Amino acid sequence: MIERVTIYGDSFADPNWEYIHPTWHGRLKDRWSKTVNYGKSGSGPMYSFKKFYESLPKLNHEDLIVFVLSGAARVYFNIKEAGSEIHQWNNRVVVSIEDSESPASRDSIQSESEYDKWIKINKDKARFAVDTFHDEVVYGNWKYESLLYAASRIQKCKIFIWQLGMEDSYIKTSLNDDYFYVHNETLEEAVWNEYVEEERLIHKFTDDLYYKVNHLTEVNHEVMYKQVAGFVDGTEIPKFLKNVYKGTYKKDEFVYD
Amino acid sequence: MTKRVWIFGDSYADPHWEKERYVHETWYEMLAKQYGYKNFAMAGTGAHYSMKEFYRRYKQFNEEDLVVWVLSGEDRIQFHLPDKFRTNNRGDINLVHESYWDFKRQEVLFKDPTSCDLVDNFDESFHKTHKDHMSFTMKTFEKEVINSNKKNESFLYTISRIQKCKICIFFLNYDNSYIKNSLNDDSFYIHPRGFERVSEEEYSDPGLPYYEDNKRNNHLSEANHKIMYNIINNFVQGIHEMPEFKQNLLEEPERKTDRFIYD
Repeated sequence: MIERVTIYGDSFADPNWEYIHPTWHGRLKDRWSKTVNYGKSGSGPMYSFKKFYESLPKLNHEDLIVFVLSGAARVYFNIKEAGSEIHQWNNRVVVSIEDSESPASRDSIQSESEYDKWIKINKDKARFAVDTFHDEVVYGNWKYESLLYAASRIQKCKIFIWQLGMEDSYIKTSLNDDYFYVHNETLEEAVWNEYVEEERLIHKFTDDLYYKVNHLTEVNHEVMYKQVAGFVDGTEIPKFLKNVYKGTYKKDEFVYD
Repeated sequence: MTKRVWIFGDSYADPHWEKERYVHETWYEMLAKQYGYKNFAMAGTGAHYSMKEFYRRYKQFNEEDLVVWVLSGEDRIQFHLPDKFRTNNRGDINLVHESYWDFKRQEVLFKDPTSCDLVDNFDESFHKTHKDHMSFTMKTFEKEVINSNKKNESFLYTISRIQKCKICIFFLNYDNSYIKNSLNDDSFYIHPRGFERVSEEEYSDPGLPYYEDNKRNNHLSEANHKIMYNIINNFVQGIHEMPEFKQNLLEEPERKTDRFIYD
């Protein structure tokens, strides 16, 4: 019987987006009051696992872990020398600034000045660090999901995973069972496919003004909730809905963060 | 049916044991007579080094493959060696392993160069110029390093499920295992005895503190090389009862030096 839910992930799980409509993580909290959400826009699994490592020994059959496994290349330079929370992401450094006054953590700010300052001081050392752990970063998600799988065997907790892209998964759906589940549709696909077809042909979805939360529309938030609930309850796990969203287009750029 | 054996690890498996060599068959030589054989173990390295070799190969593994791992110290990091320091020989790997992270003091320390085995090749300039780089690296990745063997053994476990190969793991220190022997089955085996203790318990009087004198091949006496082979062979044959490593085979370590390093 699940008593506690812990959510890890990036912007697909971040609870600090502006409230436009109900979210999957909000629905989980409605059902399980002891829900903790560590989702943080712009973060990668290295950020999430810092917390997961600490909680691992305490997990048991009353725990449900929900993971959005985002890009392993988001190295988490959360050290004194970095000055603030800095993630390297495909050779860019994204400074994720949380502002409790501003509701939009979708506005994860890429501050050039912070970036320049940080790079000036640390580029050489950051490059050395990434070179030293290059292979560990490349194979990072394969190992993270493996640890999650082993944890589900040993701690007897339930673990549900969404991947951003399926190429990030070694296990894919091959080891799914009552304790461990990797969803067979990626979140990148889900975001793309929820646009109505004609919009996909005309626009780049990166031009969308994005009146939605965690990159997804309300109907797919409900699907996400039902996917997790289906895994826990042993009932059907629904697919993401397609062709359900017509974007609002201007020139704004969208960045997954 | 097992046809090939792949070995990854440190000095407990290194076929190029460069220290004093004793004439007897080693556990990996016994395996080499039986199967197609590749051994990537290297003294002084850790899983961080060995995994790089492993990543290139594991996707070809199938039910005909046996993989033997010695999962050694998580803190043995193969630091990046910039081009200008490279000689493109084995000494490069030794060189980058001569620095280590002191978790308590939160700083990079160097092994005493006068006690290094490859003292002639030891280039202090790399360490002097990159001490801050190494410190930055370890602070950034510290949690990942501390938990790396958890991930390594878990990854090996899932590989045994997906590739259907057999994977046999020995730890230097069994307490460092997260999985321990809880998931052992016909395809996956973690031995419940750490090598550090096996080596120490070969001596009836190991002394305190215990110093490795390297007067054994791969830190093990001949009798325990045979036991090691038998453990692996039993795993391959599906025999669940494993022989115990022998103890009290030697009197006490010779104390030529006061330096102890498992490498």
